[in-house]
Amino acid sequence: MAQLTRPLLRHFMRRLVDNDLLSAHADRHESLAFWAGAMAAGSGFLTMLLAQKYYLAFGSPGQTALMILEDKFLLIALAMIVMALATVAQWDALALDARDAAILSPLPIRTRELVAAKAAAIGLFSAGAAMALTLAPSVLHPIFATTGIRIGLVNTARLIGAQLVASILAAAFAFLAVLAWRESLRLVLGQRGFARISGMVQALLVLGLVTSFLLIVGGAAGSATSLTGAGGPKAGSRLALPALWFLGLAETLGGNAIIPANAIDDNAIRAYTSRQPRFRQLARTGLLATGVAGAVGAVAYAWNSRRLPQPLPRSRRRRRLRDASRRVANLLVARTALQRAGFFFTLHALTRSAPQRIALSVALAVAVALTAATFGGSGLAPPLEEEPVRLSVWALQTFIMMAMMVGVRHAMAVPAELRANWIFHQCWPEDLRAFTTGVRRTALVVVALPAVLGLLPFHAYLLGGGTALFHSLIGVLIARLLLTPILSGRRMPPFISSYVSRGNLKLAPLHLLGAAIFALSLAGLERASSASLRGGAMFAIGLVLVIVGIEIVQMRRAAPISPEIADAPDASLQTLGLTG
Amino acid sequence: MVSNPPVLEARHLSRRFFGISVVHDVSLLVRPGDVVGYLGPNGSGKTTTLRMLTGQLAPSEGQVLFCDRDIDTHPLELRRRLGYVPEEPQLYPFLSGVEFLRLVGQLRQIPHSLLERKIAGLMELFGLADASDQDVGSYSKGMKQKLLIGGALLHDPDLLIFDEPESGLDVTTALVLRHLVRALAARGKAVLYSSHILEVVEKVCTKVIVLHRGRIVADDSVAHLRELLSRDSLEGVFKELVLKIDPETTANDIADVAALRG
Repeated sequence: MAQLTRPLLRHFMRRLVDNDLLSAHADRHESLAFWAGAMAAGSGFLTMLLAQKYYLAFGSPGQTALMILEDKFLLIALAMIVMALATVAQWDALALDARDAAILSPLPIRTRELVAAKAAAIGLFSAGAAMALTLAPSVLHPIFATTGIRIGLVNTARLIGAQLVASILAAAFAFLAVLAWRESLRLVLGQRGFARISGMVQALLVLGLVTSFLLIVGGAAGSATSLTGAGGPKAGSRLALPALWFLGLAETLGGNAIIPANAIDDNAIRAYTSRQPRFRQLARTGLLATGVAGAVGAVAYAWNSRRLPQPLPRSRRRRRLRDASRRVANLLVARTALQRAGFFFTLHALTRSAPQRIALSVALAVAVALTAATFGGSGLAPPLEEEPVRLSVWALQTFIMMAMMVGVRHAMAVPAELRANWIFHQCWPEDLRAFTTGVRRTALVVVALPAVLGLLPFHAYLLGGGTALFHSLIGVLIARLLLTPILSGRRMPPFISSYVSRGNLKLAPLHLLGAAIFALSLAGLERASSASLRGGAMFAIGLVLVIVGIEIVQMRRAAPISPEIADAPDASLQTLGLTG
Repeated sequence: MVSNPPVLEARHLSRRFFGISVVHDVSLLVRPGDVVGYLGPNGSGKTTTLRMLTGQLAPSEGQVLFCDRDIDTHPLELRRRLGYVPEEPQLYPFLSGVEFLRLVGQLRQIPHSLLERKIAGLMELFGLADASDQDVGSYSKGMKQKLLIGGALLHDPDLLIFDEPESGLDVTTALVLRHLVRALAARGKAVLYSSHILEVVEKVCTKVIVLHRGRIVADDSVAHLRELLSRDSLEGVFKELVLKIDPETTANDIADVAALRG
């Protein structure tokens, strides 16, 4: 059994590590080192950043204990979300699939050995990810945070141990919760039902997790001191609850190591100690939740793995629905053969291919977080008489369009299936424009239009029906404007590049600044022009003229796009950014 | 007798990878109605040659002409009139069989109603109608191979290049494929057929090219080669030209190694 399990374990681990999200050509060890390094370096950097305040202001033991509470909450919440995201990214590889069954079932291996090896592989993967995420912050943060109060070696070690245990359990809970959720759905819906909604559930989880990440980092979920205070978290802060459980555990295990027995009783110490019963209650809930998630996940996983999965045909009902949608699209948005090729291939890649779906889900999560930040709190209160609607409300749609189009751009840069690129090479038409038109229309119909329609009720409430419709039209035009450089500036057709350029992250702050200036200027102009019908019409026409102008310039400038199957550039060239 | 002008011509093709020569000085002609067999052992450079002939790989030396025009400067001409079945059936796993054929047909700008008729007919005749809505990712190798052959025929090409097309096919479809290749040739299509299976090449091809270690070691009709080397079959010719080992001895040695114990 052990002899057999090791190669199987290696095989399944390889499937978890081989990830086209980074680069289809990347070396496996390089990918692994990159992701582990990114997790450890990211969490380590955040810890150093959080530690700054302890050097700037030395507090009493009580004040330090309360300050540390905020940092621990943030670190635990981020460890949970990143761990859950890593698990969701491996969604299809969490259990044996039809491909595994086809390859491995002819071999003389019992099903339970396959399942055990698969479970061990995902267990090892999650343990490795949890360690990479939590080790640096758990060790470094207590050391930096207690520099000013001198609690001694034993108490520092106790703090480190408590933080490490709580963070690892938090990450384990996140992993088990995703696994339990996936396997329970599969158990309840059966293989066919699960296959039908699996992609959508994965996208929704990415959306929810990234939104939570942004809201917690932005402080919108509330501070740890307020959440653990009298009365507990309010209904609006339920998002923060799981992280609070493990904060409670960390404090129960090692929190009082900061406050020496002979410390002078002050307000801060009283505020901290008054929370200790709440910490214990939260810790119990956290442990119980981890146990329940683990048990549900294990039982559902074992039950679902009794038989190896088989390939499934699509249902006839869905086929009829798809055929009807195809006919409508053929009639309205993609009228020529090449437009249809571009439209439907983009549609299928964006909705069915995992890397593309994840890229779009992350973009959507940023959009949801931006919406929540803009309309949260008193953001939805209608303006007083004569007072103009806030500029941020006008700019929100542009920010969302930019986020979504960045998602579309990334989705197009990732190969949908590298080894199938030869199809485009063999069938590539002379006239590229019609294909690109189809791609652009998919992005407008499937990405931009739903985003604009989703915002319409908020805008109608704040701006009035007519202005909201005008604003929606401007939103679609902005999406169209953003798509022009995305589609014209490509060297390769969408979805069939042979490697993913990592881009230049050093320029990201400049891009963000440029985006903010663009969105706010446009919002200012739009708000001013919407005062009259003539002004609004002039603004819309101006925008259309800008799009046409950019399109003409891009068409003259752009080198012809070719589906030549180029080998990926050497890794060292990519690292040095010499590949353009 | 004046022979037809060649549809495909390779002139002194060579390809090196990191200085190692994989294909060396390969020249060939494929005329309308010809079925040219391209034979060679594993690693002899067959697929590399075919990738150069289809424009997927640039030759280190030499040129490929399609209807007397260099494919390097006129790649679209070749792509429009070429049907290619690659060795490995690599397809987009998230598309269904019908969606794959539709993508190929739309990229080749086949009118909508004609494309739908062709797709329905090909799916039916290849026995894929029941799996037409299934994701290609769940297809067996043989089903993928049938889909690839269907995709290569959709636009009624003048030149067909098959790279081991019978791999994974069931017996019936393999027989259908043999007849299909003959039928296509009878309709004036030029066919280049790379295969390991000597029997198929012998029965289907009008002419055979044998490649060994990247070089052409024979280029003639099957009958003439047999006559020249005084052999009864193409297998005998192949043994004479390419095999440096005795297959029977090697087979016994393999069985001995497999039977090793303790």
